[in-house]
Amino acid sequence: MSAFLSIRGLGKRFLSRGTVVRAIENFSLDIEEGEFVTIVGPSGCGKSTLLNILAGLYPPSAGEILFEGRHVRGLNPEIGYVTQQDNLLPWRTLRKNVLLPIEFRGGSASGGAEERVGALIRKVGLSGFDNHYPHELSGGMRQRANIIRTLVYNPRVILMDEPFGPLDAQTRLTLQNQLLDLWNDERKTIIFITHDLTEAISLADRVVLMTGRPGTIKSVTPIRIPRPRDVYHIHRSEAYREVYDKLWEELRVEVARVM
Amino acid sequence: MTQEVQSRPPEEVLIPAGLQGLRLLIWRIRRTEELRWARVALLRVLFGIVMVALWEGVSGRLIDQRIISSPGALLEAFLDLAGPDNPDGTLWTHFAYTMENTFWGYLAGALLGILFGFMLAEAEVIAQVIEPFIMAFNGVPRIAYAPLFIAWFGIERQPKIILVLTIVFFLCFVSTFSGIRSVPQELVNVARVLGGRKADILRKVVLPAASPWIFSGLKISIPFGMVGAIVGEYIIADRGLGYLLQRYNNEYFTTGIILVIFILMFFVVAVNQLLNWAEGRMLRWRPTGQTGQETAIPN
Repeated sequence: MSAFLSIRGLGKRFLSRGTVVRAIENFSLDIEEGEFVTIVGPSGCGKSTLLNILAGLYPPSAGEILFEGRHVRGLNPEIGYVTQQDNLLPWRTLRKNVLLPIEFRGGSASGGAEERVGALIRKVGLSGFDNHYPHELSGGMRQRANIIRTLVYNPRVILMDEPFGPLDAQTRLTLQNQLLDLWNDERKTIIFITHDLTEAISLADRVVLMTGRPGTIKSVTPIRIPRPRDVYHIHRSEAYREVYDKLWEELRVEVARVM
Repeated sequence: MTQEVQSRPPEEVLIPAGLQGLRLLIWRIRRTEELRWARVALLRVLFGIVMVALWEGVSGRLIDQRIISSPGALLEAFLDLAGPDNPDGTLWTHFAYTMENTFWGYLAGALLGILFGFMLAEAEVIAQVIEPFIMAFNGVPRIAYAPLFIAWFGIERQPKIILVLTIVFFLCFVSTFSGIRSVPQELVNVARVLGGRKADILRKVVLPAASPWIFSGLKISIPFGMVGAIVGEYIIADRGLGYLLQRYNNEYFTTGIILVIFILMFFVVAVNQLLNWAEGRMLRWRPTGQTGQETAIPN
């Protein structure tokens, strides 16, 4: 019996200026349904490459991905992907952007879909901005739109590539809080990449720490801080500090190795 | 240009009180902006009037009127040529002939150019193979092809339309091609993950993303296309504005030449304004200042 999502011996090499670059090597991880996994690692350790492969945009050089025991090749319609850049279509209003996957997936834009879009927009506090174009929204608003654009079609797995990276500290906390709320309601399986240890710990069931290039798993740490968590004050808890110190020691070695 | 300036900021009940100040500030800036534009427009009109007055004053006094004509003579020639009892057709006949040729050549050239731009942007290898050939064909001044087109297509409308077509085709082709090439790969990837199939992505992502480029190609094609029609008539024709230019040139009729130039000028400016307006409406999603309003008219 295999896990819900099983990554086995994944590797990625590519040619760059005539030399072979090993981006990822022997990456294996089993993820349970509804689990929130965060991945941290030094920059350039192949985190984004990993997500691109999981999303099915590029094939791996080695290894395989099993989704509910089935071998996955190419795009998996059950997997959603929230990229670091919001990648909203600038000529579509917020509402039309969120409706895009429904149009793509052949669902009629009537009835249920419209309602779901409206509900999600309200839930992340974007009411009243439905008909705004992306350039009229702040970075935090755009990123919220990006997230609900993926939630709207109900993928069972959501990949997130440093979605709060470009945002300021206060907005980040607000969005982390909202993300936890959404996750609590819908219990999606989330694989979330970040380089911010605090973020990784506040959100995760398990934190996966990656080594520098070639990226592979250095450690997997379960986070036993009870939920619901308070992202605003989590840094005060003893459990948080303990796990932060442990992870930071491990990460420090990897960062030093890369620099 | 001088729109009615509102005396009060528009009421906005949804915005909380804290933001009201910010809104007011934006409204003030916009209002000064409008005033600034009104002033520019007024000065433009004044500038035009001064130029015409200077021209009229200098003509026949400081400079020979046979060389620079004069606004008065121009008006006279216009009324004469536009009048009904002109031996070889009124100004309207010539204008219509040139514009019809331009129109058909432009339409066919633009459609084919956009279509080929799309097709080649999707066909990497073919694009690479034929690129130098296209550049070579396009690099030669179009007038060099004119005699060939006349030999092939006769002395009626066809060679003129074909000349316009080839000019417009390449401008639209190149702008469409580079527009599609410049669509960010991330946007296409996201659309794929969101479940878009190739045709959907082309229609809902690639085409709108490339539309500013396509628009700018359509815009610069207008004056260039007209060059094609006029050059074609200049070489051989019995009608059209290009024919008029050629005839007036032989007759040393400076006023006539300048009159034709002015007619072309007014037409190009009017069409350009129309396209700017259409573009502004279609590309409303772009942040202000990026609608291509500032595109200069090429010669």
